[in-house]
Amino acid sequence: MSAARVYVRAAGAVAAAGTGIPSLLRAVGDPDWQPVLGLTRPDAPPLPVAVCREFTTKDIVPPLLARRLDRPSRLLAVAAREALRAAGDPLPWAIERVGVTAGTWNAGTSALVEVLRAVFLTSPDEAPPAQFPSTVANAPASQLGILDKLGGPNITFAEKQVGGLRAVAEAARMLLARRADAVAACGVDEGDWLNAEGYARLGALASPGRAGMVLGEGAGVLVLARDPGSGPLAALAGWGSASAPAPPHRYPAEPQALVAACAQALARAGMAATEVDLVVSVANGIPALATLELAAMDTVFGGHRPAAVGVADRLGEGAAGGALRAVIAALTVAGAVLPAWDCPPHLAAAGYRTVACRPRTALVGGVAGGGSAVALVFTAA
Amino acid sequence: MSEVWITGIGLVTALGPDRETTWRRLVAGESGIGTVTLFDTTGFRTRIAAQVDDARIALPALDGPALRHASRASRFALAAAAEALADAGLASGSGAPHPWALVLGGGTAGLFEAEAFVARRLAGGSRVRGLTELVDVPQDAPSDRLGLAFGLTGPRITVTTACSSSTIAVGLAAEMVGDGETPVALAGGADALCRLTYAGFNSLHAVDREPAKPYDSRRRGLSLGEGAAVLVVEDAAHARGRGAHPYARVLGYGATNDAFHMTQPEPSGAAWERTLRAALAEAGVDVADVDYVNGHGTATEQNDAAECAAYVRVFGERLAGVPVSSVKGALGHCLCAAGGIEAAVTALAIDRAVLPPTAGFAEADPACPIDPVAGTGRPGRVRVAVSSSFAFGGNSAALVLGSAG
Repeated sequence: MSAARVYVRAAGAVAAAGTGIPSLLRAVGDPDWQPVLGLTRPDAPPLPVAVCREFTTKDIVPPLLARRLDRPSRLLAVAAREALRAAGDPLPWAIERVGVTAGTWNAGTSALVEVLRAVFLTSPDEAPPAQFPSTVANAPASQLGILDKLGGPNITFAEKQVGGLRAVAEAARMLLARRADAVAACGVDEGDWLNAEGYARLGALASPGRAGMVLGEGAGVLVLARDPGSGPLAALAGWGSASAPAPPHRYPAEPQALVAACAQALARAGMAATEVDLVVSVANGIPALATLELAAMDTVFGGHRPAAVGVADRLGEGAAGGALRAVIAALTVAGAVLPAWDCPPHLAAAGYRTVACRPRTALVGGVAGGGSAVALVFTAA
Repeated sequence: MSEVWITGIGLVTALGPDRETTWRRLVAGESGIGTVTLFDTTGFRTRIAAQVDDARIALPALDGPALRHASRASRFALAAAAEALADAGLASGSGAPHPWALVLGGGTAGLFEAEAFVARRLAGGSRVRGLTELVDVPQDAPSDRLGLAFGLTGPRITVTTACSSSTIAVGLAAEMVGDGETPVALAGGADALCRLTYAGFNSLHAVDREPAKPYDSRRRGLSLGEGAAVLVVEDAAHARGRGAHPYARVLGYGATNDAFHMTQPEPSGAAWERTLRAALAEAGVDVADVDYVNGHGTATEQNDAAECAAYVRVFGERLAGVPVSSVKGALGHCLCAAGGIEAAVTALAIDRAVLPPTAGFAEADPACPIDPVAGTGRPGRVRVAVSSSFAFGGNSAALVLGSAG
């Protein structure tokens, strides 16, 4: 496997922590920061979703334009604008050579509920034509392409929890195949009651007295390029993916897929597992996933015990959550933040520790229900 | 990059539950578009679509978990994948894991089944009637079920760029095989009719009350369809080593975004031209080498016009001599499965030296100066062919396939 790498030129974020990278960094650096949870839904109590309560498009997307976009498209537009402006204004690449890769778990769901509301409760011919284009999961990435006139390949990946990590890995593939000169690699999810309710009914969400997921809302964006430029944040040194057979709503019973994904990412980076300083944990509150992660880390690291940080329990699980984990990893190895959040308990019990000093390398892995796994390795540039 | 072949094809369409039935009826000029029976179409502008006959789908002898609570879309994908693997001589009954990649275009997945729950929930109810209404809702659920059914342990990727999803999936799979990441990849897509897409395209007035007439001057819109295609994309040396038959060679692919509008293509065809030229450049073939184009051909006024504009830009005056056809007049627009189905049909055209016709085509559009393949299949040797797709959000993608002989 080659040691070809690509560079993180800029980042953007919208999360439960607020709008923009500074808000995210303040939260990540605060050990006591907790999200406000609660997604309202019709006729039932709120669900545990880390929603973006302070999100605004003001000063970033013109009001008339923002009104035409659905919520996931607005979330991504704001995060991507932050990242693209940080990469250069004007961008240092021809815009028809700038691509977009996006991962999402649920973009389009709220729009499809609105279309179906008209169909079922009024009449089929009352289906709102303006809402229908937002029902496709690629709407946020496509709207980003339209807003910023980005003419490179524009590909959205639907892989539940690992969609955001997939988007970063496929951005690297796109760059190395020279299909684009730069790529905005994104993850985006909205808080939507239909999906959240579905997972609640499957018993996957946290509830009083029951361990489970907190879902997340937001967008994370990394601008990647082959050219490091004058001051890249970090290098994306390796990526890998594998899968294990499992039904769509269950995690695989065995850790092999995550192990294989991590091993590929490390091999591509030309790194030994002992060189990993930080693990941005997959832990999302589901006990089965914690068990799986611990087994995978034991196999990958042997006796090595890097620092580890949990993110999904605060920013929420999802494709956006995966992208935000990648953003945090890149910014951490860049020295922009020292994560103050806890090492997840299952890893702490096995000897992994909370971050104490600046890591130079970070491993970000993920596993989706159904068994797809993706891993990324970031190194200081 | 190593040479990449297509060595297995599985199809589920409105014309048939398998590859051979679909191909035979397609080249005979038949259409699978008819009255929708899957759900009540009262109140919609149209009543027709290319609906798959569920009763005829031969689901493979799989163990329980892959099929349990599976949606129609997942069942289409499972049937197509089983046929493709058997066709390639890679069928596995051993249960042993295969380190192959899977790249599928993901569309509505289990939405048809979930709509029943949504309807009750919106009306104030709350009961879920079985897990089938929930578990296949994620767009990658069909991918997960294929992984489970066939013991796939390689990268599992679900592309969702609307109507170009499975074109990109096949291109991405070929890239992974060509780069040596995996010797075999299953690629394609699956999509199923549902009330959401039916209502949505009706609301956009993008559907014709009569069966679609791609590239025809009388065209009034598309006909929706459903189905699945799975192609076995294989490293040529790996395939030669086991004596596999190649339908076609994957020479290259391209994708761009026109950054213009969510539902309307950029009318000059300039971005689509970039896609076609990128695919041809990667394939290392000249425009003059293209013997056949399997077009997007939705039969909407704007899409066909932009597509033809792109062909004019690429092929110039030679376009009048380039055979072009769209299978959407026969199979409907299968959305996220469309590109995979069309890639499969293009590979079959190369392998069998027969160009499939455009069902419904009768009157040429002066603005679209192609050589239309109409009526029934036209015999013709194809050394190089292009399969071209376009999607909501301005995503176009193209595959260049060639003879492996």
